[in-house]
This record gives sequence, structure tokens and C-alpha cells, in this order.
Amino acid sequence: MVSVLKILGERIAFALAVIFSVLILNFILIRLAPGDPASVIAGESGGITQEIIDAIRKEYGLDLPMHEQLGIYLGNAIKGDLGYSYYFNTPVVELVISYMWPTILLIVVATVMALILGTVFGVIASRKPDGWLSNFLTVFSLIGYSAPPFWTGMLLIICFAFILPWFPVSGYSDVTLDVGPLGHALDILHHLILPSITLALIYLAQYSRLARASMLEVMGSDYIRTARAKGLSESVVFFKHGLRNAVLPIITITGLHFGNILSGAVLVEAVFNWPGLGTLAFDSLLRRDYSTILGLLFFSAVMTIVANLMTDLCYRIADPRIKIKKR
Amino acid sequence: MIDSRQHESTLLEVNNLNVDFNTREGIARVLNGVSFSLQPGEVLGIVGESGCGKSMTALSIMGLVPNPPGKVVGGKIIYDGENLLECTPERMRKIRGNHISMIFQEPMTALNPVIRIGDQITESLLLHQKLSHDDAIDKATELLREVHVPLPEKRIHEFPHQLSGGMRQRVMIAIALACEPSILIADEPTTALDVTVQAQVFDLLLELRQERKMAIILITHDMGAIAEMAGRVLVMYAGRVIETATVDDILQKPEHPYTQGLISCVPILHMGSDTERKSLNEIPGIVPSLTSLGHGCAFEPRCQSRLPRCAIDMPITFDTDTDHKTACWLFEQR
Repeated sequence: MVSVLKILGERIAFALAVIFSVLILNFILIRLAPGDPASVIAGESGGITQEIIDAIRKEYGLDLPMHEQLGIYLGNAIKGDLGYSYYFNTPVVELVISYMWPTILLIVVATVMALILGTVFGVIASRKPDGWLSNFLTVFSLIGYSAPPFWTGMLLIICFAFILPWFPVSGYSDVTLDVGPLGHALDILHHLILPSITLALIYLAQYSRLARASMLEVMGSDYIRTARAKGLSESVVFFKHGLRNAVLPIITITGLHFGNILSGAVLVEAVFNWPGLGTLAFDSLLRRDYSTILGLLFFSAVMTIVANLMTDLCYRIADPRIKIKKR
Repeated sequence: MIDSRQHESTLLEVNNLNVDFNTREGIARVLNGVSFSLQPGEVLGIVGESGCGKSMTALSIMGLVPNPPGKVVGGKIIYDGENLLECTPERMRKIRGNHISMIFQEPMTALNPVIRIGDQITESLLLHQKLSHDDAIDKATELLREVHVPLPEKRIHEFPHQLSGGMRQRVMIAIALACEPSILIADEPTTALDVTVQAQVFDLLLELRQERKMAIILITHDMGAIAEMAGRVLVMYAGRVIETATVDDILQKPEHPYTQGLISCVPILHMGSDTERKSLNEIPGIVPSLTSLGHGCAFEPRCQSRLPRCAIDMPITFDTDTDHKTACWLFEQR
């Protein structure tokens, strides 16, 4: 247990260093990009004159040299203040937190869906590697992987919101309903189904292929023959001896995919008008809302690091061969 | 060994066993009319080159021939009055690991890497012997002690990667012995191990056989192991049994030209100077492809003493002596 805590501490220290570097890198990158927030703000509020722009620059500290701006930014970041959004007129941290939950909900539901269904499909397909399900999965994964999520999203809306009006077209919840907390949760779930399927489709296909390949490999290994030689039933051989080993690569890939799924969520949120970080990122990019963009980038870096940390811990639990002491 | 063997009840009888494999080049008959019998408590050696059907014979007895591509297409395997080839899969699972168990060549990969040693041993005890979990753990510890694994109480909580190859093979033996089988099939149990460890494993097998009166089928290409362990020996070539005899007969008066070649290929250690060193013997030629066997003897193309009919007719098995059978036309006149 002590060694687990030690490794955890080590990992967290490492993660903090990464987050700090991400802060600096993002700050520099966004300022290298073309566009001037002062003129956008001036444009939003009416007339653009040089005096107004200069006043805005001064007010937001944009007239200072870059290294001074960075110093102020980092100093505030350590205190938990990621700046103030010019456009939303709210502190960035508050803004990000208010948009964070719908995204986390979407990502977690989509990942769990893709992971469970993908593994189940792949495992079933591996039982008959030349069967119709296996061939169907090959085609399905090709389509799932190549189709952009905004396209599949729109297609799902057309099929299951217009032609078959089973699900709402877009949004997070129906504000006109007055149904109490449970009804509200069910309403959110109802809205969640199409976007999470859209996001899950990309990964479902990949996980099912991976599960199939991994299961086929494992079922051909010597220890499976040993298990059969003990006289164990085929289902014990398959699930206890086979699946346990076959899920290891899937765990790894899920962790690696987390960064991708976050960027996939941006597109899906835009299509379904889901009030999450993706929508926020989209709006703030158009507005050159530097502090919000930085806050979002920072936040997604933190999420990715946390996800990888969790994957790492899961992997250690699932595979005893990975020694706690070594990295 | 003992000659009263015939009077004892036969434990296992394999009769005219045929196994086909579907390959890209066509159907390969990997086992062709394999017949032999096994008496209680006997150590039967099966020798031959790689691919001659040794392991496939073992897998057929266990009902573990990979299907597809393999298929048992004919013959009988009688164990305790029951034809194993006609058993239901459920019945076969009750026999496998319980009455007949097997240890494999590769101890490094034959154990499941993510399951603790203890659980891997208790699995068959819980299944076949219906022991309680605590009793099964006690039995597993006892088994590990019996196969000379040090600190068994500690080992049962460890994973396979924490053990050396020799220790893993001992664990495999413990797994195979868990339900006190009457037949243990050891498929090249020491090939992957150091020479010193090999000797330990053989000693262990002999010791356990003595204690438990179980029969062992030892599959190997190591003539040294055969000389040390076996009572009777089957020599296989290209899916057929070509010679059967006691171990002394096989080593001292081998009859089939292939067996003679095999024995002469065993290197003898010379203690003298370098000039005395001779080059190693070999049997010229290679094992024929099993998909393109002709009608004649499969060894005919490599045989030094072949007769004209060897290429045309498959030799039948001749009784050349008490307990000595050879499938070769050279022995027809006797």
C-alpha cells in the first residue's frame, strides 16, 4: 500500500510539472495566432477607434510585454484564478466549471458505452472469426472510424429526431418541462442518447476490432490449452482465462483515446448544441477570448492527465506483471 | 521392465488412430493408424523428430486436437472400458484433468500470467473433487511441497512471473497431479529447462510415479531422457508408429533403419583430445511433407537399406521378438 501511495505521489508531482508546462505553452501559442482581442471587444461594443482599442488594451493588461503578461497569468493561475472572460463577463474558472459537467457526462457515457459494447461485440465476434458478425464488425469499424462525427450526428438527428421523432433534436434539457428532479434527470438522459451514440460510434468500432484481435490471440495461447487440459468448461476458459488477459490492451487504448474523445466531443457538442466545453471552446475561439481558451486548454490537459493516471492505476490492478516499483 | 504386463488390465488402449489436418496444401494425415497400449504404472516413451505426431497423439487422448484445422477421423481410444472419441464433451471434461492430465513443453507460457499460482492449482480441485475453498488451498500447498517448491505457503499467493522456469514446470506438474490422475502425459516437459533442472524434473516424475502408481506417457526427442525414464518405447515417424520395444531393446538392438539412425545420432561425450572428435551423425534427407505421402514407407527416400517394394507398399507391423514390433519390410522373412 505504501508503495502504491508513493507511486501515486510521484505521478501527481509529474502531472503538476506537465500542467505547468502546458500553461506556459498554451499562453505563448495563443498569442502567436493572428487576431486581436481588443479589436474584437471594441467591435462587439460598437465603434472602433484607436483610442477605444488602446483603452481596452490597457484595461485588460494587453499593452504589457508578453513575458510580463505571462508572469501575471502564472501568478494568478497558482492562486486558482485563470483570468476573466472578456466576452462572457465571468471569471474563467467559474465559466469552465459551469460548462464542464455536461461534457463530462457526455464523455463518460460515450466511453462506457463504447467500451462495454465494443468489448462484448469483439468477444462475440472472436468466437467465430469468419462469421457474419465478424465481417460486419470489420465493415462497421471502417465506417465508424472514417465517418466524421458531425456527419453521423446529423444523420442520427435526421433518422431518430425527424423521421422517427423519438429523441429531441438538440440541447441539454427541456426548460419548459416542470417535472421535479427525477424527471429532469430523465429528460437530460433523453437528450443525451443521440450525442453520446454519435461520440461512442467512433470508438465502439475500434474497441470491438481490438477486442476481437486480442481475444483471438489470447485464445491461441498456451495457458488456454492448460486451462482446457484441466477440464474446465469452455465458458470458464473463455471468460476467466481468456477475457481477463484480452482486456489489457483495451484498457491501454482507452486511456490513450481520452484526449481524442475530448476533441471529438467539441464537434458533437456543436452539432447537438450541447452546452458543454466544446460549445464554449467554439464560441470563445470565434471571439478571441484568450483567457477562456487558455482556461479550456488547461482544463482539457488536466482531464487528459487525470484519465491517464487512472488508466495507469487500472492497468496495475488488472495486470500483476507490472511491478509497482518500476515505471 | 516387467514381462507379466500382458496379464495386467490395460489402462489405455489406442487403436488405429487417424487424425487429419486441413492445410493450405491439402489434407495432411498427421496420425496414421497409431496403435499402442498403456499399463497401469508404466512409463511409456514416445520418441521421434518434430512433427512426427508425438504431441498430436497426446492431444488426441486429451480430446484437445485443435479443430479446425485438425480432426480425429478414425480409430478408438479406450480408457477404462470407455471410448474417449465417442464421449460427450461434458464427459470428456470430467476425464480431462481428473483421470488423465497433461504437462506441456513451455512452462514459461503455460501458466496464466494474471492468475495467482494457488488459484491455478485449486481450479481443478474445486471442479473435479468438489473440495471447499480452504481445503483446496491446503491441498494446493501440499502439492507444491510434494513437487519440491520451496516456501509453498508463500508461493500460492504469487503470480507465474515471480517464479523461474523450473519452478513453473513444478507448478504445472502440481496442477496435473492435483486430482491424482491415473495417467500423466508429459509432452517434452524439460525441453525448455536447464540440464540440471531437467534431471530434477525427471527424478521428481519418477518419484511421484512410484508414490502414486500412475502411468506416464513421456513424449520427447531426448534419447537420454528415454533411457532414464521409460520402460517401453514407441518410435514414431511421419504420423506412424514404426517400432515398439522395451527401452533396452530400442537402445541396444534397434531394428527399424530409422530407429537405428536415431540412436546413432545421439552424441557421445569424448573425454579425449580434439583429434579423437568425430563429426556428429545425422540421418540424410528431411521428413517428407505429410500432404504428399505416397503409398509406400514414408522413410523410404531416406532409408539406406530400402527394398524395391518399400516405395510401393506401406510396411505392415511384424512381431520380431517378444515385445518387439517393427513396421519394416526388412523383417518380413523372419
